[in-house]
Amino acid sequence: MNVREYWKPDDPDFILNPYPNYHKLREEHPVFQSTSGDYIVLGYHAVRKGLIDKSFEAATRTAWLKNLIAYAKKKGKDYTSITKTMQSFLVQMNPPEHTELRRVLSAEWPKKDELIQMIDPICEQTIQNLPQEGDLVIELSKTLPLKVVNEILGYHQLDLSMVEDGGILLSALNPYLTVKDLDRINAASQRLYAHFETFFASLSPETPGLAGRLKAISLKGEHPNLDWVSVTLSLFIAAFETTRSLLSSLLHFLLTHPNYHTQLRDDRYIENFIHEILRLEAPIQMTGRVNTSDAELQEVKLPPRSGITLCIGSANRDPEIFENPDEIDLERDNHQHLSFGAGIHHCLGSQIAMLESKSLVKHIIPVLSRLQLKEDISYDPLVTIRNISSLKYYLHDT
Amino acid sequence: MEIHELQAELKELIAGELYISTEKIKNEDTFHDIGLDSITATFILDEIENKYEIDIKPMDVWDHPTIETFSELLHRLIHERA
Repeated sequence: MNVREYWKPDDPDFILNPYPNYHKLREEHPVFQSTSGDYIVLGYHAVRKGLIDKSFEAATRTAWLKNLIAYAKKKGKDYTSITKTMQSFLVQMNPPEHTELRRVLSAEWPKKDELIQMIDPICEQTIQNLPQEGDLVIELSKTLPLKVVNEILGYHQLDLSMVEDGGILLSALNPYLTVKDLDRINAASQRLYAHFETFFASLSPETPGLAGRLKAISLKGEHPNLDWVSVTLSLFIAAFETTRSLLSSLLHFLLTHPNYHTQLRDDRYIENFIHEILRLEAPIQMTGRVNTSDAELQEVKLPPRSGITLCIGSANRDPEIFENPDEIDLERDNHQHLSFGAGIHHCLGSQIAMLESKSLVKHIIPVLSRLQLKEDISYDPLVTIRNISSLKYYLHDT
Repeated sequence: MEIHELQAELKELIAGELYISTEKIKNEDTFHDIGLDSITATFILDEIENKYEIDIKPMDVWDHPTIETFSELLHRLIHERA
């Protein structure tokens, strides 16, 4: 088997529907070396091991970007803003710094009851005020996480232009970049950093919200290695980009499968439904690691410091773990999908994402019979994050 | 432009980027063997795109991993552009 016939991370058709190719590859080569030298991991057990085994380091992308920046400097290109902006992103950190930041954030994180009281009215009102015509990706998938993160941070000046810049910044995690991509990413990172720098400077320890609490901690000066502007910015980006993906996939499924609406009026099924969509349409399709020592994944030996791409979107459909893996099953109680990651990098915002999703499903179900999709969907041309580009709709009166 | 001219230009570009002599680069050596990595490849691709006014996907360099195969791709892309 020529793996390159099936492994096409830069092909729009692959990005649109990578799952048949994942199956073909996983059956014969659950772990293989790609033509660019990194190891692609598709089987559930191997992906999970890559996520939880401490000898597999995260932050592979920032390490690569740092080398790239040093090299670019010789070419007269200055990309330092990209790593400056991403320096305190949890997903791009390793212990002990990762442990330090995770502990600080966990202690300050809003409690579940507080989150429910915050999130539910936002979803209810936004759906009630849905314009008659428009794009659900903008009106709901982007707007809901934006409103929620504004509320959590205690900052009400974040707008959709910053969402766009955040998306551009996250494309730095894409495994294949061009100089033109880097120019765009650098410009977006400069705008975002400048904005959040002004915001963080304006805060006082008494400012209500998570950002104010982080400001209070920053003023104590106990964490000199953390960049608080980058921390705050990372919470904003982490809050919307992946949630946006999940909300769009939920909405798309609901709009194209009316036969499930009755069952989903029963609250018992909503959580299973969300887990099934998370499993089937993993917002983060792949993530990178580097092994610090000799390693073996599904009988493939990896030399130390190999670049490893863990394909979560493939692991979630591994028939060894999930029976009829391509089918949605609202009775399925196996929620061992890897969409929130596993191990020390397990998504800190998973509870928020679940609460937003539950609230969205609950409030959109009564409206669905009046909602009509106007055209077929397409996906953003990014293999790492699975984002529906638009969901154009029309809302009927009755 | 003939393929062999393209190959000579490519060798010069890569040699300049990697600070090696053009004579060290053989048509059938893989880019990996020559010492190209994902960072140097990113900048070389940019130079090639600008020089020949074509679009190349980042994966193309690894799918056509020798001067011989890559120059064939370039030749085709330049021809298509014209």
